[in-house]
Amino acid sequence: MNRSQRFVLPIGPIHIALEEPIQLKLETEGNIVKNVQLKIGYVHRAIEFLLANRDFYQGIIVVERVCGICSHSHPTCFVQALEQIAGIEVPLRARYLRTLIGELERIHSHLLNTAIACEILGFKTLFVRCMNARENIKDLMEGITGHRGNYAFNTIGGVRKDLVEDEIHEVKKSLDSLEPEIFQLIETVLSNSTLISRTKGIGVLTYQDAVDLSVVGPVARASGVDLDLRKDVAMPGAAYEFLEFEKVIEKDGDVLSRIKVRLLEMIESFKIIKQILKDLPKGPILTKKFVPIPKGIGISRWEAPRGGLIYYCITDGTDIPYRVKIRAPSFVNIYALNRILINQDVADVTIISGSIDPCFSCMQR
Amino acid sequence: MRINLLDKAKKLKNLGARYITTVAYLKPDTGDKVVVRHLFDLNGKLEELTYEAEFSETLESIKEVYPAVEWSEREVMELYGIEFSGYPEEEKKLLLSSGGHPFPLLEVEKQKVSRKRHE
Repeated sequence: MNRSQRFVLPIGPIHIALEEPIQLKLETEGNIVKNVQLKIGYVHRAIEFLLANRDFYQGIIVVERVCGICSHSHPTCFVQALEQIAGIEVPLRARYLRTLIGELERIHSHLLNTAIACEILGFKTLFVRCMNARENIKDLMEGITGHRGNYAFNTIGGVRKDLVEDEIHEVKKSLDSLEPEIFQLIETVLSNSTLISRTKGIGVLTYQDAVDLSVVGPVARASGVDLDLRKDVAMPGAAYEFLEFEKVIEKDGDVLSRIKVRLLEMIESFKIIKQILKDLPKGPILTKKFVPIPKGIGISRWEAPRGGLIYYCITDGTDIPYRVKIRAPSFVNIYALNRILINQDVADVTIISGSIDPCFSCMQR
Repeated sequence: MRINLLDKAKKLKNLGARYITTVAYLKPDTGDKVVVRHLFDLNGKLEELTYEAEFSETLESIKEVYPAVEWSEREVMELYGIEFSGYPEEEKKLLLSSGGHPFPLLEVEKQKVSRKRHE
């Protein structure tokens, strides 16, 4: 088939198959995608511009709203950069509590992505079960932080809310009933022959492509890339260095591998949460040595549910940051669709795109 | 045009460095140049390629070695007015393609530097 017989299929920016606006121009030969053009910029909110005009504490509120799913990861990464500039040591109890919310966020994010995968594949029952389980996690997060989203949990030098003994007991009780439910869900998804046959071998991102395209998070780990910031880099605002868990890595790089990585990561998250609740150190949740944020540069990295998040903060000695650059994981992962979608069936475009767990608002900030 | 960026990027790539992101900002002390910084991860440690660009200078793109740099370079072009080689005119914008004030972050930072000078 020659090039003149190709057909350009435009999807978006407003389209029935899209949750958020993006434009995909798929050049197809028959049903096979031969070229992809991605256009973004439809939900740009000028967050970095806003941050250059707000003080540090207003900034925490702003960055919480970069992403509705990772609204704990963003402020944690932001305050971690400021703490680095000011040399603030975060109390151990606060580091554990930040990690606790971070892992609950990972579970609810991975459940949401699994639910979406089930919905795209027409498996509505499993979609509803995943969403129900996610609701329970959100209830738990509300119980701990006081909010279902935009948790207002972080501040410079620690966290804003402690967990008392009774609350720890309640959280443990909730987790004890949630864990078998979620583990059963994982087993159901991973043993479902329809789901496996529909996702195995499609949307493959090879190890080399994953490295070349600098993808991060579950997308990278599903292609065999040994990359998880929780293990690989220092996170002085978190407590991962004191906790035992495994990196989840798959080799095939297809949609099924990405689903598997997220599901198995939830098991590791439960492990982490149990250790936190068991060993939560006593002590303050907020530093007592407050210092003004001096002139400097802070580079903070955090393993958000979708992958490595980075905040690059430059301060000039005033209470307003000079420059805050945010690199959300979706910014690199979505770009990889340019390669993943090539030679795939048009019918698989939705499930492949969904398997990247794209957050268009997050990446466009 | 500076010609050694691509070579340096190739060396980093050969060492196994992974591209993270590109940060740009107006030099806070003098306000006379735009600092452009490509960040890389090499075995968990941060490496960087940094250069200070004149306003509207054209810099060598490292897209050939690190394809993922494309959106970051386009973002720098539209937010700071720095050019990277190898981009057709219609691809120079990324986030603000529907319009908006040209080089918004450059303008904000120019105002900050100017305020600081008059304090």
